[in-house]
This record gives sequence, structure tokens and C-alpha cells, in this order.
Amino acid sequence: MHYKMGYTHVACLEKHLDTSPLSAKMAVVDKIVVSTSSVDELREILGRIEYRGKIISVHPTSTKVARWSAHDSRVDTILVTPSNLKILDKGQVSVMKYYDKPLEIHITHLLHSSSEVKSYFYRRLNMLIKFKVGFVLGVPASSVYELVHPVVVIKAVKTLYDIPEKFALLALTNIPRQLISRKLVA
Amino acid sequence: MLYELLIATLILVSTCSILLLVTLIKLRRLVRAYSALLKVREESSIARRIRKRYVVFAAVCEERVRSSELKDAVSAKFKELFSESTYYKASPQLLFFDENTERGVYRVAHLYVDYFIAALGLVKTVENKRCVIVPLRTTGTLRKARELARKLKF
Repeated sequence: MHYKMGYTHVACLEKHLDTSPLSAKMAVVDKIVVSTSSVDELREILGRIEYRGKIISVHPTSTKVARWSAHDSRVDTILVTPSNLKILDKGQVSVMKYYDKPLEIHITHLLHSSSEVKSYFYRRLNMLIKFKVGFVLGVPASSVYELVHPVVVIKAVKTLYDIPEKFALLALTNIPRQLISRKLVA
Repeated sequence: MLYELLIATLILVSTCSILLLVTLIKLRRLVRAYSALLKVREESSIARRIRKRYVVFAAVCEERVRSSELKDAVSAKFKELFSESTYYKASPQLLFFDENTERGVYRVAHLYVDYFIAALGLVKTVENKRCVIVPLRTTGTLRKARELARKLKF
């Protein structure tokens, strides 16, 4: 079903038994989300975990951690949720552009948040496009029925957040595929 | 001699001014014609006919769903995302839905196809039954849409 919907590369937090038969057609890699507010703690966690074959996503809850994770090569993406939306300012975006670090946003947060959070996301996403910083649109799904078709994601982001289709397509295809392929080689 | 020179200069100046005046008049006419053309074009674009688009979709549900239930779920999602006024303008109509093959065709105004596809794909439950709706293709004729609904694989 994932493959039929157009998903060829998947990074998931938990692998279940039903994920393995798909691996012939699909590339599946592990993903780890590190949520922290201290740089020392993040450094300690990154030193402990095996980061080569896994996607490391940092969910920073302070500006310091966000800045630090933007320039660390072990970190693959910086996850932004409604709880840590305020860390994404102009300085953070310019650091991310300099170190070519993509931002990760989940489509459920874009669709099912309050109006205030949506307006924050609107401004931040358009700022990312203005700065030409890549971002990854994640579709968190624990079952098949929670999946969203990629075309639907593009149209939704285009109509609700005024993001050009070209950028939305990149956020769903090229940028995440590069990240996952890099981990498959490693 | 001086008198002749003065007359020649005067004639030259007057000729130049006449030429300039003629050019200006011509330019003014051109500007008027161009602005009229722009106005006509703008009016024609406003009164442009709203064309129809047919969206072929497939629904994958855990239980069988009826077309009326699907229609209600899609319209509710559209109104939730893009407000009621956009819904009227888009005027989506479910033309047919085969409950056995779970394929169907929606008709929508061409200006709101993107809005409709977004709303259609984001429907996750139909009458408390979990569902995934996948937009397969968009066509301009109903005949082609029916053909695609029959032929397309998912």
C-alpha cells in the first residue's frame, strides 16, 4: 500500500514485522528523534548512538540547541513542531542555509493545528522559501489509513500555505530521498 | 542676410514643432488603443466561462461505504479547510461512485481543482470507517473520466 501510494523511501521510528516484506521494493531506514534543551545532553546522546545507518532528527527546545544542531554533521534534520516553533528565526534559517541542513515539518501539524500555529507556520515556511532553505515534509503514519497521497500533500500545502508546487515537490522527493539514500550507503 | 537666416530658422523650428505635435498625437492614439485593448482583455477574462474538470478517484476503506456517506465526508472536509464560500464556487458534485470497485468521479470547477484534490485526499474517516482516498487523474470530459475509472490500476 505504501508503495502504491508512491512512497519508495521511508524513514520510520519503529520497525514492525509487516514492514520487512516491503523492503524489496522500498528502502526503509531507522529514524531517531532526539528532543533536548541542553547542548551537553545532545552531544552526549549523539556520542552514544549509532548514527551512520539511521536518520537523526533533533527536536530542539532551545535556541542554543537549534543553532548547535544546525552545524553538526551527525544531525540530519531539525524537527519543528508547534511546541518549538519559536526557535525558527531569521538567524537559525541563515545558519541552516550555510550548513545545508534541512528542516523537518510534519504534515499533520500543518493541517490539524490551531489558527495561531498555522499562521506561525505560514510565516516560517514562506521565510524558508525566501531564504531558499530546503525542508522535508514528513507524513507520520502508524497505519495505512493515516497515509496521505503525495499529490494531496502538494496540493494542500500549495492551497493552504501558498508554497509553490516546485518547492513542495522537492520537500517530498529529492531532499528526503537524498537523506535516506545517504544512510543506505553508510 | 541676417533676415533670411532668421526666417529659415523660424521655418525650421515651426516644422520641427509640427512634426513633434503629429508624433505626439499619434502616440496618444496608440496609447488609447492599447489601453482599450487591455480593458477588453481584462473584461473577457472576468467573464470567462467556468469550465468543468472531472476528478477520478479510488477509495480504500476498511468497510464498504455508500456514495452518500462519501459525499458528506468530502463536503465536510472541504468546508472545514477552505470555508463554505469556496465550496459554493468550486461546487463539487459526485457523479458516480461504484461501491464494488470503490472508484468514482467528481465534477468540479476548473479554478478549484487543487483545492478539491487537497480536501478529497485529506478525508480519513467516512461514517466512522477509516478510509484513504487517492485522486487518480483529472480530465476534461466525463467520457474519458469514466474510461479511466474503469481502466486505471491502483
